[in-house]
Amino acid sequence: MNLSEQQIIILLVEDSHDDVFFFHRAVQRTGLRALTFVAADGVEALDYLLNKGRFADAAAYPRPDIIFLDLKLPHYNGFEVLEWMQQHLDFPRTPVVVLTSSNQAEDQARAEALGATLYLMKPPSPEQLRQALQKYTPARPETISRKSEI
Amino acid sequence: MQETTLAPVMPERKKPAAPKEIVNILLVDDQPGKLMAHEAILSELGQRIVHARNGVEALEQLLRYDFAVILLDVNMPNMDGFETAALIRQRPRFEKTPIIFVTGYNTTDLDRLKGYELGAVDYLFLPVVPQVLKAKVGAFVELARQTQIIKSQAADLAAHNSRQAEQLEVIQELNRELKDANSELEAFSYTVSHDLRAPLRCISGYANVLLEDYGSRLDEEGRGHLMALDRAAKRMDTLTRDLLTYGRVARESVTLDPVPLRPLLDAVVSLNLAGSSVPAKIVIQPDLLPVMGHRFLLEQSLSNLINNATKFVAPGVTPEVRIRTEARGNQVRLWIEDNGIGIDAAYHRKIFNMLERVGDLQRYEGTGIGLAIVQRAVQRMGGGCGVESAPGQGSRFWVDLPSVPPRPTVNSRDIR
Repeated sequence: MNLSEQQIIILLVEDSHDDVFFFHRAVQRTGLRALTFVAADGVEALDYLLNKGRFADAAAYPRPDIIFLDLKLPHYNGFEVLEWMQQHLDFPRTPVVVLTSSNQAEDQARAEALGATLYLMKPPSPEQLRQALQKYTPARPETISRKSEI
Repeated sequence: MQETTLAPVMPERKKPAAPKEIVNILLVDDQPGKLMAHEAILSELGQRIVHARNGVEALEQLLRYDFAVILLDVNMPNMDGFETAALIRQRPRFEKTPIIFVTGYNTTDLDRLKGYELGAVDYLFLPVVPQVLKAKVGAFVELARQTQIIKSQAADLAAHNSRQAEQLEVIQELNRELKDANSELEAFSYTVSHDLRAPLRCISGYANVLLEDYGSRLDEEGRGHLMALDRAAKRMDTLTRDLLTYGRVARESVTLDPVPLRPLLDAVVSLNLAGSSVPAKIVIQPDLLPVMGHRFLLEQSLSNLINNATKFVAPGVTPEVRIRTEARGNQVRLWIEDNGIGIDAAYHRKIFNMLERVGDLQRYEGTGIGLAIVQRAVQRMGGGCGVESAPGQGSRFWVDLPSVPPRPTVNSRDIR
């Protein structure tokens, strides 16, 4: 059985190592089986989605079920990634959760106008992540591994 | 120096006649006795009198001063009055200087005609009647004085206009600078809200990681310190966010548009409930009146008021918030009523001040900026805010905002 059939495939677009670390932790704590791939900026995000560059191996870097996208990124920022996805017919169907430290309503409105599914303030809690993953990704058997949880 | 009392006089002016409003009178006569006599009569006008004993002297004086009027004797040796007048009129500068010819009764109509051709404006016949002399000269003196006043007022006005133009330029320059400063501030705020808050999130995040993964290896005191670290970082994060919001509320350029409150409230409420761990019951009146407002400022006001309404409740009590509007003249009053702990009347004004916090500071977290944001935002929309409350009785916060003016209908004129 293919890995991607058992787990939720997450693409996290995030340039801060700390935030990547916190995200991994929070995903672990959701109790859901999920595999997170990280793209460090907007350009890498597009590379990943197109299986280009260091993400050329489509088997190793499967199409994500859901994308978590930081807005403030080097090179292409989050809005630009959203715009690009909107223009490429295939991707609007992939749910995109915008993760940001900005509580500015314009940012949220702009992200939503560009097709973002959900807007979460950093850091997302395990509960927020669990809800988002369950709501926006296809149903999966909940294979819970609670050993890492306190 | 004294002011003339002669008519015609202008309506009273604001400032008394300044010395520069004294004018010059030129008396031209070859007979010193007549000069003296005329001067004696005219001195009552309070103006400066200048003598000339012949045409040449008269021209010399004219080149030196401006004259309100020239009293010119017709019968003079060498160059008579008419010749002098012709000479005077040759110079464009004196083209319009009034000339009164002084002449004997033997003047023929032909002479008089000649005088008028040379630009005389009047005649005086010898022997001069003092009242007549004074009245005729006085009229021209007054004319000259008024002309001078008008000229100086025109000059003042021109100076004023050019000052105003300069001031306008200065204002425009300042405006440009202000705009630059504002956009710099905007960029600064953005940096602060993103880059400066990121490390705070890290501090708090790692403090929690330590607590969760290594907490069991620490004693109670160690864990307490970590929790304090986390609280401080979170508090600074909130404080930063609130200060940024306050700054933005204060400088946002405000235009008022009709805003339906319901969608805005729904968004604010859902955001508030999502961010809170305690369930709250929020009842919104179905037919809220629309207001004239600014989306961002309204959002900030409502979000802070609703946040407070759900936050300041006694332990174990489910927050209940009621939101409704009522028309008050050309304003709409929006009520946000809660079942919270209430506020002592002594603090009803104070709580809207910046960084002012009252009540149980340990139990209820806050930065003391929320209501300051509300007050500033509401003021910027041309409204007001306040509270009715007593301890243990809940609070009823209100916000007054301009109501949406009725749109004139096509038939409104016909109806009348």
